[in-house]
Amino acid sequence: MLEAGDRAINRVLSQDNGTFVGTTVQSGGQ
Amino acid sequence: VKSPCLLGLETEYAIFGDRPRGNALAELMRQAEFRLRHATSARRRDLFLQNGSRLYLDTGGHPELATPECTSPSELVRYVLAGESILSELLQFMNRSRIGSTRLYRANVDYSGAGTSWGCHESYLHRTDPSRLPDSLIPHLVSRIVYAGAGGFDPLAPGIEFSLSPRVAHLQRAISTDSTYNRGIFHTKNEPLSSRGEHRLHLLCGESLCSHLASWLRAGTTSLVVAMIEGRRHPRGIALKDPLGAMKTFAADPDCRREVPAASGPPLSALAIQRKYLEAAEACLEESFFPDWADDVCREWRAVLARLESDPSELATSLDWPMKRALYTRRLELRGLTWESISRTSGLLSAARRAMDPLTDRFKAWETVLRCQDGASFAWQRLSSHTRCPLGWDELEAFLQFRLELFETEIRFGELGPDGLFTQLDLAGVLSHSAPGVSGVARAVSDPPATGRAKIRGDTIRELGATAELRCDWMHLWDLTGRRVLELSDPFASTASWRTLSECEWESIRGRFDILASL
Repeated sequence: MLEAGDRAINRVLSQDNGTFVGTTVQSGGQ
Repeated sequence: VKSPCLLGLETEYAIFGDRPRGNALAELMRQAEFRLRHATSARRRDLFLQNGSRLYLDTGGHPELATPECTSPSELVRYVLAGESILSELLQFMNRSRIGSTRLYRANVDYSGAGTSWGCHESYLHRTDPSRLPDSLIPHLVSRIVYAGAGGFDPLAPGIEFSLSPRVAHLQRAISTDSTYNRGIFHTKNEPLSSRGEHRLHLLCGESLCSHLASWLRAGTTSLVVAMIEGRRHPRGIALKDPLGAMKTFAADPDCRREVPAASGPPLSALAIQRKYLEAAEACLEESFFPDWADDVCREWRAVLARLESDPSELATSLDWPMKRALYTRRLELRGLTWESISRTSGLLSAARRAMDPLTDRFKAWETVLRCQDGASFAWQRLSSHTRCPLGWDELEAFLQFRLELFETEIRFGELGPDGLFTQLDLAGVLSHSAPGVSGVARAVSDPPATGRAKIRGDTIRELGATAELRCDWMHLWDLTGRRVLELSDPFASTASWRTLSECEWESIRGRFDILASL
Protein backbone atom coordinates (compact mmCIF):
# COMPACT_ATOMS: atom_id res chain seq x y z
CA MET A 1 0.00 0.00 0.00
CA LEU A 2 2.79 2.40 0.91
CA GLU A 3 4.61 2.03 -2.41
CA ALA A 4 1.38 2.53 -4.33
CA GLY A 5 0.64 5.52 -2.08
CA ASP A 6 4.05 7.06 -2.81
CA ARG A 7 3.53 6.72 -6.52
CA ALA A 8 0.04 8.19 -6.39
CA ILE A 9 1.04 11.09 -4.14
CA ASN A 10 4.08 11.94 -6.25
CA ARG A 11 1.93 11.89 -9.36
CA VAL A 12 -0.64 14.21 -7.77
CA LEU A 13 1.96 16.63 -6.43
CA SER A 14 3.76 16.81 -9.77
CA GLN A 15 0.45 17.51 -11.56
CA ASP A 16 -0.14 20.47 -9.31
CA ASN A 17 3.00 22.22 -10.46
CA GLY A 18 3.40 23.90 -7.12
CA THR A 19 -0.10 25.36 -7.12
CA PHE A 20 -1.57 23.55 -4.19
CA VAL A 21 -5.29 23.10 -4.08
CA GLY A 22 -5.04 22.05 -0.44
CA THR A 23 -4.74 25.55 0.90
CA THR A 24 -6.99 27.26 -1.60
CA VAL A 25 -10.15 25.15 -1.36
CA GLN A 26 -11.90 27.09 1.34
CA SER A 27 -15.24 28.57 0.48
CA GLY A 28 -18.52 26.84 0.08
CA GLY A 29 -18.68 24.75 3.21
CA GLN A 30 -20.79 25.24 6.28
CA VAL B 1 -40.68 -9.43 13.85
CA LYS B 2 -37.66 -7.12 13.84
CA SER B 3 -38.02 -3.36 14.04
CA PRO B 4 -37.50 -1.42 10.81
CA CYS B 5 -34.69 1.13 10.78
CA LEU B 6 -34.50 4.22 8.64
CA LEU B 7 -31.38 6.24 8.11
CA GLY B 8 -29.87 8.69 5.65
CA LEU B 9 -26.78 10.74 4.94
CA GLU B 10 -26.28 14.25 3.52
CA THR B 11 -22.81 15.04 2.19
CA GLU B 12 -21.48 18.47 1.29
CA TYR B 13 -18.75 18.36 -1.37
CA ALA B 14 -16.02 20.96 -1.72
CA ILE B 15 -15.70 22.32 -5.25
CA PHE B 16 -12.58 23.72 -6.87
CA GLY B 17 -11.63 24.61 -10.39
CA ASP B 18 -10.18 27.16 -12.72
CA ARG B 19 -13.51 28.80 -13.47
CA PRO B 20 -15.41 30.99 -10.98
CA ARG B 21 -17.14 28.89 -8.36
CA GLY B 22 -20.57 30.31 -9.13
CA ASN B 23 -20.19 29.37 -12.80
CA ALA B 24 -18.97 25.88 -11.91
CA LEU B 25 -21.91 25.29 -9.57
CA ALA B 26 -24.40 26.57 -12.13
CA GLU B 27 -22.87 24.37 -14.83
CA LEU B 28 -22.92 21.31 -12.55
CA MET B 29 -26.63 21.75 -11.89
CA ARG B 30 -27.34 22.55 -15.54
CA GLN B 31 -25.72 19.24 -16.49
CA ALA B 32 -27.74 17.48 -13.79
CA GLU B 33 -31.03 18.99 -14.99
CA PHE B 34 -30.20 18.06 -18.58
CA ARG B 35 -28.89 14.53 -18.01
CA LEU B 36 -30.76 13.14 -14.99
CA ARG B 37 -34.44 12.30 -14.80
CA HIS B 38 -35.71 14.34 -11.88
CA ALA B 39 -38.43 16.25 -10.08
CA THR B 40 -37.62 19.75 -8.92
CA SER B 41 -38.32 21.11 -5.47
CA ALA B 42 -39.67 24.55 -4.59
CA ARG B 43 -36.10 25.91 -4.65
CA ARG B 44 -33.92 26.55 -7.66
CA ARG B 45 -31.16 24.05 -8.36
CA ASP B 46 -32.69 21.43 -6.13
CA LEU B 47 -33.49 18.04 -7.69
CA PHE B 48 -34.97 14.78 -6.51
CA LEU B 49 -33.59 11.97 -8.66
CA GLN B 50 -35.05 8.71 -9.90
CA ASN B 51 -33.00 6.72 -7.39
CA GLY B 52 -34.85 8.56 -4.61
CA SER B 53 -31.95 10.82 -3.63
CA ARG B 54 -31.68 14.60 -3.68
CA LEU B 55 -28.98 16.72 -5.36
CA TYR B 56 -28.94 20.43 -4.65
CA LEU B 57 -26.88 23.54 -4.07
CA ASP B 58 -26.80 24.26 -0.38
CA THR B 59 -26.30 27.42 1.65
CA GLY B 60 -22.67 28.40 1.40
CA GLY B 61 -22.35 27.44 -2.24
CA HIS B 62 -21.51 23.77 -2.48
CA PRO B 63 -23.20 20.77 -4.06
CA GLU B 64 -24.88 18.46 -1.60
CA LEU B 65 -26.20 14.95 -2.01
CA ALA B 66 -28.76 13.41 0.31
CA THR B 67 -29.30 9.68 0.06
CA PRO B 68 -32.83 8.32 -0.12
CA GLU B 69 -34.27 6.89 3.08
CA CYS B 70 -32.36 3.64 3.64
CA THR B 71 -33.15 0.64 5.83
CA SER B 72 -29.65 -0.68 6.51
CA PRO B 73 -26.04 0.54 6.61
CA SER B 74 -25.30 -1.48 3.46
CA GLU B 75 -28.06 0.30 1.60
CA LEU B 76 -26.84 3.65 2.91
CA VAL B 77 -23.27 3.12 1.69
CA ARG B 78 -24.61 1.84 -1.66
CA TYR B 79 -26.52 5.10 -2.21
CA VAL B 80 -23.63 7.30 -1.09
CA LEU B 81 -21.47 5.55 -3.69
CA ALA B 82 -24.21 5.79 -6.32
CA GLY B 83 -24.45 9.53 -5.63
CA GLU B 84 -20.71 9.97 -5.99
CA SER B 85 -20.81 8.02 -9.22
CA ILE B 86 -23.49 10.42 -10.50
CA LEU B 87 -21.40 13.45 -9.50
CA SER B 88 -18.26 12.01 -11.10
CA GLU B 89 -20.08 11.48 -14.37
CA LEU B 90 -21.49 15.02 -14.32
CA LEU B 91 -17.96 16.33 -13.77
CA GLN B 92 -16.73 14.38 -16.79
CA PHE B 93 -19.36 16.02 -18.97
CA MET B 94 -18.53 19.45 -17.54
CA ASN B 95 -14.82 19.07 -18.04
CA ARG B 96 -15.20 17.92 -21.65
CA SER B 97 -16.29 21.43 -22.57
CA ARG B 98 -12.70 22.72 -22.16
CA ILE B 99 -14.05 25.92 -20.64
CA GLY B 100 -12.23 24.92 -17.50
CA SER B 101 -11.61 22.08 -15.13
CA THR B 102 -13.70 21.47 -12.02
CA ARG B 103 -13.06 19.02 -9.19
CA LEU B 104 -15.13 17.83 -6.26
CA TYR B 105 -13.75 16.59 -2.96
CA ARG B 106 -14.96 14.65 0.01
CA ALA B 107 -13.43 17.30 2.25
CA ASN B 108 -14.27 17.92 5.88
CA VAL B 109 -12.17 20.98 6.66
CA ASP B 110 -10.19 23.54 4.70
CA TYR B 111 -6.52 24.21 5.33
CA SER B 112 -6.45 27.82 4.23
CA GLY B 113 -7.12 29.27 7.64
CA ALA B 114 -10.60 30.41 6.57
CA GLY B 115 -12.18 28.04 9.06
CA THR B 116 -14.47 26.29 6.59
CA SER B 117 -15.88 22.88 7.32
CA TRP B 118 -17.99 20.76 4.97
CA GLY B 119 -20.68 18.78 6.70
CA CYS B 120 -21.64 15.14 6.51
CA HIS B 121 -24.93 14.89 8.36
CA GLU B 122 -26.49 11.64 9.50
CA SER B 123 -30.20 11.07 10.08
CA TYR B 124 -31.73 8.26 12.16
CA LEU B 125 -35.47 7.83 12.65
CA HIS B 126 -36.38 6.88 16.23
CA ARG B 127 -39.23 6.77 18.70
CA THR B 128 -37.42 7.92 21.86
CA ASP B 129 -38.16 11.07 23.80
CA PRO B 130 -35.46 13.30 22.23
CA SER B 131 -34.47 14.66 25.64
CA ARG B 132 -33.23 11.16 26.58
CA LEU B 133 -30.76 10.99 23.73
CA PRO B 134 -27.82 13.31 24.52
CA ASP B 135 -26.60 11.68 27.76
CA SER B 136 -26.84 8.17 26.34
CA LEU B 137 -25.54 8.91 22.86
CA ILE B 138 -22.76 11.47 23.35
CA PRO B 139 -20.18 8.97 24.73
CA HIS B 140 -20.69 6.96 21.53
CA LEU B 141 -20.30 9.99 19.26
CA VAL B 142 -17.17 11.07 21.12
CA SER B 143 -15.47 7.65 20.95
CA ARG B 144 -16.61 6.25 17.56
CA ILE B 145 -13.99 8.40 15.83
CA VAL B 146 -11.48 5.59 16.50
CA TYR B 147 -13.04 3.84 13.48
CA ALA B 148 -15.26 6.55 11.94
CA GLY B 149 -12.78 9.44 11.87
CA ALA B 150 -11.81 10.70 8.42
CA GLY B 151 -8.23 11.42 9.49
CA GLY B 152 -6.22 14.48 8.49
CA PHE B 153 -4.76 17.43 10.31
CA ASP B 154 -5.96 19.87 12.92
CA PRO B 155 -6.97 22.75 10.62
CA LEU B 156 -6.59 25.37 13.34
CA ALA B 157 -3.07 24.41 14.42
CA PRO B 158 -0.16 26.47 13.08
CA GLY B 159 2.04 23.38 12.66
CA ILE B 160 1.32 19.82 11.58
CA GLU B 161 -0.87 17.94 14.02
CA PHE B 162 -2.44 14.68 12.89
CA SER B 163 -6.07 14.25 13.88
CA LEU B 164 -8.26 11.17 13.76
CA SER B 165 -11.16 13.52 13.06
CA PRO B 166 -10.32 17.03 11.78
CA ARG B 167 -13.91 18.27 12.08
CA VAL B 168 -13.58 17.98 15.87
CA ALA B 169 -11.60 21.25 15.71
CA HIS B 170 -14.81 22.97 14.58
CA LEU B 171 -17.01 21.60 17.37
CA GLN B 172 -17.50 24.04 20.18
CA ARG B 173 -19.89 22.47 22.61
CA ALA B 174 -21.48 19.20 23.64
CA ILE B 175 -25.01 20.13 22.58
CA SER B 176 -26.09 22.74 20.04
CA THR B 177 -29.16 24.00 18.26
CA ASP B 178 -27.09 25.48 15.44
CA SER B 179 -25.49 23.69 12.50
CA THR B 180 -23.23 26.37 11.07
CA TYR B 181 -21.90 28.16 14.18
CA ASN B 182 -21.25 26.91 17.69
CA ARG B 183 -21.56 23.36 16.39
CA GLY B 184 -22.13 20.69 18.98
CA ILE B 185 -21.34 16.99 19.25
CA PHE B 186 -25.09 16.49 19.59
CA HIS B 187 -27.43 18.54 17.44
CA THR B 188 -30.95 19.11 18.77
CA LYS B 189 -32.62 19.55 15.36
CA ASN B 190 -35.70 17.35 15.20
CA GLU B 191 -37.49 17.70 11.90
CA PRO B 192 -39.15 14.27 11.72
CA LEU B 193 -40.29 14.29 8.05
CA SER B 194 -42.78 11.67 9.17
CA SER B 195 -46.44 11.74 10.14
CA ARG B 196 -46.21 8.58 12.25
CA GLY B 197 -44.97 10.23 15.42
CA GLU B 198 -41.29 9.33 15.08
CA HIS B 199 -38.41 11.75 15.58
CA ARG B 200 -35.35 12.25 13.42
CA LEU B 201 -31.97 12.37 15.09
CA HIS B 202 -29.75 14.68 13.01
CA LEU B 203 -26.01 14.45 13.65
CA LEU B 204 -23.44 16.89 12.33
CA CYS B 205 -20.28 15.77 14.10
CA GLY B 206 -19.46 13.09 11.51
CA GLU B 207 -17.25 13.32 8.45
CA SER B 208 -17.24 12.39 4.80
CA LEU B 209 -15.45 9.04 4.53
CA CYS B 210 -13.80 7.07 1.73
CA SER B 211 -13.60 3.62 3.33
CA HIS B 212 -16.80 1.66 2.78
CA LEU B 213 -16.17 -0.25 6.00
CA ALA B 214 -15.79 2.93 8.07
CA SER B 215 -18.94 4.45 6.60
CA TRP B 216 -20.88 1.22 7.09
CA LEU B 217 -19.68 0.78 10.67
CA ARG B 218 -20.52 4.34 11.63
CA ALA B 219 -24.08 3.99 10.33
CA GLY B 220 -24.53 0.49 11.73
CA THR B 221 -23.19 1.09 15.23
CA THR B 222 -24.97 4.42 15.62
CA SER B 223 -28.27 2.84 14.50
CA LEU B 224 -27.83 0.12 17.11
CA VAL B 225 -26.99 2.62 19.85
CA VAL B 226 -30.12 4.61 18.98
CA ALA B 227 -32.17 1.37 19.06
CA MET B 228 -30.67 0.44 22.47
CA ILE B 229 -31.60 3.84 23.88
CA GLU B 230 -35.11 3.35 22.52
CA GLY B 231 -35.27 -0.09 24.18
CA ARG B 232 -33.70 1.30 27.39
CA ARG B 233 -30.87 -1.22 27.08
CA HIS B 234 -27.95 1.18 26.46
CA PRO B 235 -24.86 0.90 28.68
CA ARG B 236 -24.73 2.92 31.90
CA GLY B 237 -21.77 4.46 33.73
CA ILE B 238 -19.96 5.87 30.69
CA ALA B 239 -20.98 9.53 30.93
CA LEU B 240 -17.99 11.81 30.46
CA LYS B 241 -17.03 14.75 32.62
CA ASP B 242 -16.11 16.90 29.61
CA PRO B 243 -17.37 15.36 26.34
CA LEU B 244 -15.87 17.96 24.02
CA GLY B 245 -12.49 17.84 25.79
CA ALA B 246 -12.63 14.04 25.60
CA MET B 247 -13.34 14.11 21.87
CA LYS B 248 -10.39 16.43 21.27
CA THR B 249 -8.16 14.14 23.36
CA PHE B 250 -9.26 11.05 21.42
CA ALA B 251 -8.86 12.86 18.08
CA ALA B 252 -5.24 13.66 18.90
CA ASP B 253 -4.32 10.10 19.92
CA PRO B 254 -3.51 7.73 17.01
CA ASP B 255 -2.47 5.08 19.51
CA CYS B 256 -6.05 5.01 20.89
CA ARG B 257 -4.75 4.63 24.43
CA ARG B 258 -5.47 7.90 26.19
CA GLU B 259 -8.06 8.01 28.95
CA VAL B 260 -10.38 10.86 29.89
CA PRO B 261 -12.26 11.58 33.11
CA ALA B 262 -15.68 9.97 33.48
CA ALA B 263 -18.54 11.83 35.15
CA SER B 264 -18.16 9.26 37.91
CA GLY B 265 -15.86 6.28 38.26
CA PRO B 266 -12.47 5.56 36.73
CA PRO B 267 -11.20 7.28 33.56
CA LEU B 268 -12.18 5.80 30.20
CA SER B 269 -10.44 5.30 26.86
CA ALA B 270 -12.34 5.56 23.57
CA LEU B 271 -11.92 1.82 23.08
CA ALA B 272 -13.27 1.09 26.57
CA ILE B 273 -16.37 3.17 25.85
CA GLN B 274 -16.88 1.43 22.51
CA ARG B 275 -16.48 -1.97 24.21
CA LYS B 276 -19.29 -1.08 26.61
CA TYR B 277 -21.61 -0.18 23.74
CA LEU B 278 -20.64 -3.30 21.80
CA GLU B 279 -21.26 -5.61 24.77
CA ALA B 280 -24.64 -4.00 25.40
CA ALA B 281 -25.52 -4.41 21.71
CA GLU B 282 -24.49 -8.07 21.67
CA ALA B 283 -26.85 -8.65 24.61
CA CYS B 284 -29.73 -7.26 22.51
CA LEU B 285 -29.30 -9.33 19.35
CA GLU B 286 -32.50 -11.31 19.90
CA GLU B 287 -34.57 -8.29 20.84
CA SER B 288 -37.34 -7.16 18.50
CA PHE B 289 -36.13 -3.55 18.62
CA PHE B 290 -32.91 -4.62 16.87
CA PRO B 291 -32.78 -4.86 13.05
CA ASP B 292 -31.96 -8.15 11.35
CA TRP B 293 -28.52 -6.88 10.24
CA ALA B 294 -27.39 -6.24 13.84
CA ASP B 295 -25.41 -9.53 13.91
CA ASP B 296 -23.25 -8.41 10.99
CA VAL B 297 -22.57 -5.03 12.56
CA CYS B 298 -21.62 -6.49 15.95
CA ARG B 299 -19.26 -8.99 14.32
CA GLU B 300 -17.38 -6.31 12.34
CA TRP B 301 -17.51 -3.89 15.29
CA ARG B 302 -15.87 -6.48 17.55
CA ALA B 303 -13.20 -7.32 14.95
CA VAL B 304 -12.28 -3.66 14.37
CA LEU B 305 -12.06 -2.86 18.10
CA ALA B 306 -9.81 -5.90 18.61
CA ARG B 307 -7.45 -4.70 15.89
CA LEU B 308 -7.43 -1.16 17.26
CA GLU B 309 -6.56 -2.55 20.69
CA SER B 310 -3.79 -4.67 19.22
CA ASP B 311 -2.27 -2.09 16.85
CA PRO B 312 -4.26 0.57 14.93
CA SER B 313 -1.78 0.34 12.03
CA GLU B 314 -3.27 -3.09 11.28
CA LEU B 315 -6.21 -1.15 9.82
CA ALA B 316 -4.04 0.89 7.45
CA THR B 317 -5.76 -0.60 4.40
CA SER B 318 -9.26 -0.65 5.87
CA LEU B 319 -10.22 2.61 7.61
CA ASP B 320 -9.73 6.23 6.61
CA TRP B 321 -7.59 7.63 9.38
CA PRO B 322 -5.21 4.66 9.69
CA MET B 323 -4.73 4.79 5.88
CA LYS B 324 -3.78 8.44 6.05
CA ARG B 325 -1.62 7.95 9.12
CA ALA B 326 0.39 5.27 7.27
CA LEU B 327 0.77 7.36 4.10
CA TYR B 328 1.80 10.50 5.98
CA THR B 329 4.21 8.59 8.23
CA ARG B 330 5.87 7.41 5.03
CA ARG B 331 6.12 11.01 3.74
CA LEU B 332 7.78 12.01 7.00
CA GLU B 333 10.25 9.13 6.83
CA LEU B 334 11.23 10.03 3.27
CA ARG B 335 12.31 13.43 4.66
CA GLY B 336 14.09 11.99 7.68
CA LEU B 337 11.35 13.25 10.00
CA THR B 338 9.26 11.60 12.70
CA TRP B 339 5.93 12.51 14.28
CA GLU B 340 7.89 13.39 17.43
CA SER B 341 10.16 15.86 15.62
CA ILE B 342 7.16 17.33 13.80
CA SER B 343 5.36 17.65 17.10
CA ARG B 344 8.25 19.60 18.64
CA THR B 345 8.31 22.04 15.72
CA SER B 346 4.53 22.41 15.85
CA GLY B 347 4.79 23.16 19.56
CA LEU B 348 7.32 25.91 18.84
CA LEU B 349 5.05 27.40 16.22
CA SER B 350 2.14 27.38 18.63
CA ALA B 351 4.25 29.21 21.20
CA ALA B 352 5.37 31.73 18.58
CA ARG B 353 1.82 32.33 17.47
CA ARG B 354 0.71 32.95 21.02
CA ALA B 355 3.58 35.39 21.49
CA MET B 356 2.79 37.19 18.26
CA ASP B 357 -0.87 37.72 18.84
CA PRO B 358 -1.66 37.28 22.51
CA LEU B 359 -4.93 39.16 22.34
CA THR B 360 -6.67 37.28 19.58
CA ASP B 361 -4.47 34.27 18.80
CA ARG B 362 -5.97 34.28 15.35
CA PHE B 363 -4.69 31.89 12.75
CA LYS B 364 -5.26 34.43 9.98
CA ALA B 365 -2.85 36.94 11.49
CA TRP B 366 -0.19 34.25 11.79
CA GLU B 367 -0.60 33.21 8.18
CA THR B 368 -0.37 36.79 7.02
CA VAL B 369 3.07 37.22 8.56
CA LEU B 370 4.39 33.97 7.15
CA ARG B 371 3.15 34.70 3.66
CA CYS B 372 4.68 38.15 3.60
CA GLN B 373 7.96 36.82 2.21
CA ASP B 374 10.06 39.96 2.61
CA GLY B 375 9.20 40.51 6.20
CA ALA B 376 8.72 36.91 7.25
CA SER B 377 12.38 36.10 7.92
CA PHE B 378 12.80 39.22 10.01
CA ALA B 379 9.52 38.62 11.82
CA TRP B 380 10.54 35.06 12.56
CA GLN B 381 13.92 36.16 13.97
CA ARG B 382 12.17 38.56 16.31
CA LEU B 383 9.62 35.98 17.35
CA SER B 384 12.10 33.15 17.82
CA SER B 385 14.29 35.43 19.91
CA HIS B 386 11.27 36.38 21.99
CA THR B 387 10.12 32.79 22.46
CA ARG B 388 13.64 31.31 22.63
CA CYS B 389 12.77 29.07 19.71
CA PRO B 390 15.78 27.14 18.36
CA LEU B 391 14.27 26.77 14.90
CA GLY B 392 16.07 28.72 12.17
CA TRP B 393 14.32 30.50 9.32
CA ASP B 394 15.52 27.98 6.68
CA GLU B 395 14.23 25.06 8.71
CA LEU B 396 10.95 26.86 9.26
CA GLU B 397 10.55 27.55 5.56
CA ALA B 398 11.18 23.87 4.71
CA PHE B 399 8.75 22.81 7.41
CA LEU B 400 6.02 25.10 6.10
CA GLN B 401 6.56 23.88 2.54
CA PHE B 402 6.22 20.29 3.74
CA ARG B 403 3.10 21.31 5.62
CA LEU B 404 1.58 22.60 2.37
CA GLU B 405 2.51 19.36 0.65
CA LEU B 406 0.76 17.31 3.32
CA PHE B 407 -2.35 19.49 3.17
CA GLU B 408 -2.41 19.06 -0.59
CA THR B 409 -2.16 15.30 -0.22
CA GLU B 410 -4.91 15.40 2.36
CA ILE B 411 -7.37 17.30 0.16
CA ARG B 412 -6.56 15.20 -2.90
CA PHE B 413 -7.08 11.97 -0.94
CA GLY B 414 -10.86 12.37 -1.12
CA GLU B 415 -11.14 13.77 -4.65
CA LEU B 416 -14.01 12.24 -6.63
CA GLY B 417 -13.10 10.52 -9.89
CA PRO B 418 -10.01 8.66 -11.07
CA ASP B 419 -7.49 11.28 -9.91
CA GLY B 420 -8.39 10.96 -6.22
CA LEU B 421 -5.66 9.33 -4.12
CA PHE B 422 -8.08 6.98 -2.38
CA THR B 423 -9.55 5.95 -5.74
CA GLN B 424 -6.08 5.35 -7.16
CA LEU B 425 -5.14 3.12 -4.22
CA ASP B 426 -8.44 1.27 -4.49
CA LEU B 427 -7.97 0.70 -8.22
CA ALA B 428 -4.43 -0.53 -7.53
CA GLY B 429 -5.98 -3.25 -5.36
CA VAL B 430 -3.96 -2.43 -2.24
CA LEU B 431 -6.94 -1.66 0.03
CA SER B 432 -9.28 -4.01 1.88
CA HIS B 433 -12.11 -1.74 2.97
CA SER B 434 -15.19 -3.52 1.64
CA ALA B 435 -18.24 -3.76 3.88
CA PRO B 436 -20.82 -6.55 4.09
CA GLY B 437 -23.67 -6.26 1.59
CA VAL B 438 -22.40 -3.18 -0.22
CA SER B 439 -22.96 -4.16 -3.86
CA GLY B 440 -25.25 -3.16 -6.71
CA VAL B 441 -23.93 0.41 -6.82
CA ALA B 442 -24.34 0.69 -10.60
CA ARG B 443 -27.99 -0.29 -10.30
CA ALA B 444 -28.51 2.19 -7.46
CA VAL B 445 -27.51 5.04 -9.77
CA SER B 446 -30.91 4.71 -11.42
CA ASP B 447 -33.00 2.51 -9.09
CA PRO B 448 -34.40 3.55 -5.71
CA PRO B 449 -34.23 1.38 -2.55
CA ALA B 450 -36.55 -1.63 -2.60
CA THR B 451 -38.99 -0.39 0.04
CA GLY B 452 -40.67 2.63 1.58
CA ARG B 453 -41.51 6.04 0.20
CA ALA B 454 -38.03 6.29 -1.35
CA LYS B 455 -39.10 3.53 -3.76
CA ILE B 456 -42.41 5.24 -4.53
CA ARG B 457 -40.65 8.58 -5.07
CA GLY B 458 -37.96 7.11 -7.31
CA ASP B 459 -40.32 4.89 -9.34
CA THR B 460 -42.69 7.79 -9.94
CA ILE B 461 -39.92 10.13 -11.07
CA ARG B 462 -38.63 7.45 -13.43
CA GLU B 463 -42.10 6.77 -14.80
CA LEU B 464 -43.35 10.34 -15.16
CA GLY B 465 -40.26 12.54 -14.99
CA ALA B 466 -39.94 12.82 -18.78
CA THR B 467 -43.58 13.56 -19.54
CA ALA B 468 -45.13 15.30 -16.53
CA GLU B 469 -44.28 18.45 -14.61
CA LEU B 470 -43.26 17.08 -11.20
CA ARG B 471 -42.46 18.89 -7.96
CA CYS B 472 -41.17 17.16 -4.88
CA ASP B 473 -40.15 17.41 -1.25
CA TRP B 474 -39.35 14.62 1.19
CA MET B 475 -43.03 14.10 2.09
CA HIS B 476 -44.89 14.88 -1.18
CA LEU B 477 -44.69 14.46 -4.90
CA TRP B 478 -46.93 16.71 -7.00
CA ASP B 479 -47.86 15.98 -10.60
CA LEU B 480 -48.72 19.44 -11.86
CA THR B 481 -49.69 18.12 -15.28
CA GLY B 482 -52.27 15.76 -13.79
CA ARG B 483 -53.19 18.13 -10.89
CA ARG B 484 -52.66 15.42 -8.30
CA VAL B 485 -50.41 14.66 -5.33
CA LEU B 486 -48.74 11.66 -3.75
CA GLU B 487 -48.73 11.96 0.04
CA LEU B 488 -45.45 10.46 1.28
CA SER B 489 -45.52 11.53 4.91
CA ASP B 490 -45.25 7.88 5.98
CA PRO B 491 -41.60 6.95 5.33
CA PHE B 492 -42.55 3.25 5.32
CA ALA B 493 -45.37 3.68 2.77
CA SER B 494 -45.62 0.73 0.41
CA THR B 495 -48.21 1.83 -2.15
CA ALA B 496 -48.54 4.94 -4.25
CA SER B 497 -51.93 6.57 -3.71
CA TRP B 498 -52.55 9.60 -5.90
CA ARG B 499 -55.08 12.17 -4.74
CA THR B 500 -56.59 14.78 -7.03
CA LEU B 501 -55.87 18.32 -5.89
CA SER B 502 -58.89 20.42 -4.99
CA GLU B 503 -59.19 23.79 -6.69
CA CYS B 504 -58.05 25.48 -3.49
CA GLU B 505 -55.00 23.20 -3.17
CA TRP B 506 -54.16 23.70 -6.80
CA GLU B 507 -54.11 27.48 -6.40
CA SER B 508 -51.92 27.11 -3.35
CA ILE B 509 -49.51 24.77 -5.10
CA ARG B 510 -49.38 27.02 -8.14
CA GLY B 511 -48.40 29.90 -5.91
CA ARG B 512 -45.87 27.85 -4.04
CA PHE B 513 -44.03 26.71 -7.08
CA ASP B 514 -44.54 29.85 -9.06
CA ILE B 515 -45.54 27.89 -12.11
CA LEU B 516 -46.52 29.43 -15.37
CA ALA B 517 -50.17 30.31 -15.86
CA SER B 518 -50.27 28.13 -18.94
CA LEU B 519 -49.87 25.03 -16.82
